[in-house]
Amino acid sequence: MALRDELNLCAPRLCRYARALVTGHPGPSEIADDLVHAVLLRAWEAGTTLRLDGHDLDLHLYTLLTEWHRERLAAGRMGGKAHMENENFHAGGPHAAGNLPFPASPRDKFAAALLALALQEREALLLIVLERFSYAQAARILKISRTVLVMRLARARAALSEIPAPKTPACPAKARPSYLRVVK
Amino acid sequence: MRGHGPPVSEAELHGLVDGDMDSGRREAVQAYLAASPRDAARVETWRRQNATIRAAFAPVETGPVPWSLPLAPGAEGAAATRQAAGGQAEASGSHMWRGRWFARIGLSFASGALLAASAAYLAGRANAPEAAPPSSEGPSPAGLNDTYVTRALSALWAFVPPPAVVRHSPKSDGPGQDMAAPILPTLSVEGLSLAGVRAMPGGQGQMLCLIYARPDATNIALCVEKAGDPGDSVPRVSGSFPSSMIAWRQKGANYALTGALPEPELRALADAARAEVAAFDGW
Repeated sequence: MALRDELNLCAPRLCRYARALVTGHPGPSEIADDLVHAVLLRAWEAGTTLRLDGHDLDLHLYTLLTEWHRERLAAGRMGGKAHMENENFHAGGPHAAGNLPFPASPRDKFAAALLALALQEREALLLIVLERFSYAQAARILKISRTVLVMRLARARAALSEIPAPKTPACPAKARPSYLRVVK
Repeated sequence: MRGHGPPVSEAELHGLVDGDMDSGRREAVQAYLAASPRDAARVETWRRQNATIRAAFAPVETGPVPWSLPLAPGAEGAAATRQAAGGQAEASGSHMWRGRWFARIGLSFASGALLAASAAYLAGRANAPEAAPPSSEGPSPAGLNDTYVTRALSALWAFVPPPAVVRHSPKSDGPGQDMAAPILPTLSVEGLSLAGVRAMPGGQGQMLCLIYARPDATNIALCVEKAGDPGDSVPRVSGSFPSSMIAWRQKGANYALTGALPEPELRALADAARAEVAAFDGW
């Protein structure tokens, strides 16, 4: 399979992981989607030299995404923005933020519960549960031992306890008009 | 934790939930859980957690993924600026995200191939003018010179999906204001979707290229410019796959169709475009 096709297959899953990691909810996130886009581009650019495919490519993409997410958090460039996105999500959007107190919906509680986890625990939980990596693969992505991985997983599960199930709003596919784009 | 055989570890309980344990130990762990309601309840809680998390994010994998700008230095700032300006360019929820990303990849790939092949093609013509290109059916039509070929190809090389949607405004003085004469066919062929328009200097004024995306992520460009010479010409194929191009002159305009397509497909598209131009009767 061509690298392009493999990346094509990985993109939605990477997006899912990134959104869960960054915002804790499945809705669109500029930061998460930017991360995915950057990782895919990097993988594409480096594809011919790295010569990765299959599981190796998969692990490489998740490793990149996880590391870049950490780096951006550490650099403090994303913290404010992520918080803003999250705050907007909880408050129902930028215009609603700061106006009236919103009752926390199950969706809010779900995201809050995920984001309340320590980052390392969240990474471990999402790689295993959401992305269904084996313990060995997840440990490789996180560059830790299997024992440490299970410890983080156990802490995440203990902290989550009974995570409230979010009610995913029905989003009927809406046909969008196509606009002519002028390339400058 | 003790069951049948070696003690059951906490890690094995997690392994049972996540399907990551030796098959030989599965029965022992399950037997242990049968005798330990407290741990069985924990395991059930973890299973519910797993199901909840997976269900919550299931729509992401199958649903539309919004387009995002490339993560480049200053991308955050640019995005913030667009948001502050109430920009609607993000088109959240648009189905274009994957299409754009792979159009970009496809074009990156095609660029290299087209550049190399067309350079070889042009170099070959310069060094051996009497030698016909591999799949050429004859000399180029009058007015369709190598410069035009190169410009048409470069429309595809240089095309990068724009970060923002720019809509035509009736009041704007955009490119193409003086392009009333050449007819630009819409090429309404099934499977093709218009990805963008590129305007660039041409030999007789401005050349416009419509970039179309195909379902297989390959892209084609249909370019048109005013012709310097009158009269129509039959379509001629230049170059060879993946940098083949088919060009013709029709109704006072030069047309070129290029992309990484086999010649029969390229010809079929050219025929469709020619038919649309021929059928166009003004207003």
